[in-house]
Amino acid sequence: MSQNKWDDDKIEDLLSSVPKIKDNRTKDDILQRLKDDGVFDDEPSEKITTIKKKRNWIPPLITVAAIALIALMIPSLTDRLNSENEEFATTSMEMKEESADMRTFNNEAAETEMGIMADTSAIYVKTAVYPEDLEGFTVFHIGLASDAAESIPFTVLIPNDQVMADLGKSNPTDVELYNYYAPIFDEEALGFQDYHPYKGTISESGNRVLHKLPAGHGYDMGSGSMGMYTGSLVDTFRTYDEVELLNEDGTPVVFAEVGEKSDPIQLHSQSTQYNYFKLTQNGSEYLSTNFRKFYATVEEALENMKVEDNEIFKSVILPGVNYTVTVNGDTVDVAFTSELDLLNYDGVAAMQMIEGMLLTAANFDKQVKFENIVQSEWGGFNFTNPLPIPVGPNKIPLLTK
Amino acid sequence: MKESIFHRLYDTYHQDVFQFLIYLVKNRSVAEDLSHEVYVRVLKSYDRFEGKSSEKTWLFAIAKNVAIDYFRKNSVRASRTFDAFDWETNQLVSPTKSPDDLVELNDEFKELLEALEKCTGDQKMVIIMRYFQELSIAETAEILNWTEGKVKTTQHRAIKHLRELLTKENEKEAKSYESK
Repeated sequence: MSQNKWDDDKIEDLLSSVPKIKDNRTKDDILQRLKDDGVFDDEPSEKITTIKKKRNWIPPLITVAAIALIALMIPSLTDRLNSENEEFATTSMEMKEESADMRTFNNEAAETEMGIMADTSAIYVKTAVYPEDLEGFTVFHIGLASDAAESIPFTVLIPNDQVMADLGKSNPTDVELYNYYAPIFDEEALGFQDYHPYKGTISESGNRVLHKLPAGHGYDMGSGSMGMYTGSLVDTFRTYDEVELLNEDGTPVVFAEVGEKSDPIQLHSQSTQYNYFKLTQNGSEYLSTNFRKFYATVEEALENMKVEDNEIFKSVILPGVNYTVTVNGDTVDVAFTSELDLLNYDGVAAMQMIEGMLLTAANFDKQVKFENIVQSEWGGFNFTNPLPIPVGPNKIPLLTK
Repeated sequence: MKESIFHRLYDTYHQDVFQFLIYLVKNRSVAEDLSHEVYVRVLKSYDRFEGKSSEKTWLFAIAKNVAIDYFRKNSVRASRTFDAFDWETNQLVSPTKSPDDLVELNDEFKELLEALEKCTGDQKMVIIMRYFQELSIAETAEILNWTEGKVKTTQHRAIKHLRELLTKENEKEAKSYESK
């Protein structure tokens, strides 16, 4: 038995140095067995050529036959084609109208963005949603499926008027929002996989979400699917305490991956105290948890934002920047070791660091007060006061199919 | 013609493919049978190889399919059921003993390989391809027909799973040692 502590580096070093195992048979032995099995028997290359030559006649023959057939059918086809063309023209018009709608929508979305960031320069755009953004909007959280088989959390702001028109009420629950918007939400338009709505039914009971899963749901197919599934539940139902997983007959689910009765998934516990990193998906960068790695304290979570331990999630901490973390009640003081001039950095990268820290502290229900930044105001933030706790990361408009 | 293809494939890839198979199935004579089957399938379908992927990834993809078919047959035989065998979820555990080459390994290697047997099929496959076979992320993704992101994620989860299994095992053994 080894008494040494196992860590990732040691495991990777050992895996990289496993002994090479050779096949001791000779090449002739292997070849002979193939010959004995008749693998080379059908070889005569001329025969193959002849067959190929014969086959080569087939496509031209089909083409000639097809042309003859079309010639015979032309009179009747012409009429049909004409009417189909008319139909096609109508469809094109509808599509044009739809694109016009889409353009209007995009313009509206852009105007809303401009409104939110009117007090700041265009290069320092906040990407998270803050309490001040909620006026007139309803928040819809959703975890989308990235190419890395990990859920990325998003925050959608839907105008209250639209929610009223769609759901017939002004204060729907998050499960009601999910059941209405998830089926029509266009994940692929954002470059994510078509994952929602969940298979089965989603309902609620108090602070619990109930997911009834149909047989053969496939959420437990491999570690990737399980991780994506549980991560997306945490990202989507942030306002509830837990998700209970049931079979259609109401009995508890047993996942193949786990092999035993599944416990309810806790949505607010130590295991959801993540910190934030950035991930690139379809050419865009998003803030996300680092493979759901969680921490017991906010100090540890913020300190570990500097540590990259995989090739997918990259640190948002600006290069060469160090800081200390102290907790004061509901506020975390993040003091930069050297005076930090945010204008010396790329605006997007600087914003990712600030927002990554705010979102990390938010997972511990804490706000952040930054110390030792040259600017007292930047990117819509006033650094002389503790900054507000974000409502959610990665703001996106409601894109429907 | 086919014979010359065999000679070239053997000279370039044989030992790599054999090692891939023996680490998956952990039995020398099974690995020999499977490598024979790989040649049979490759030579049968070589004229359909379109060069969309590299020859190496094409060959490994066939070897992977041959190995999964072997595990599928064993699983059906063991459970006597014909439920769909999902290699990503199931553990790819060979029912036979380890070959001599692995018996002589030191304790840490043994513990590590035992833990690897407890990982899910997708994790075991990625570890063997990435570390034992030194295949790149792009090559692994092509062989498994996954995105590169999925390969990276599965590799990360596999290492984490191995660490958890090995740490748990160490704690268990430490406890039993203390209680003696």
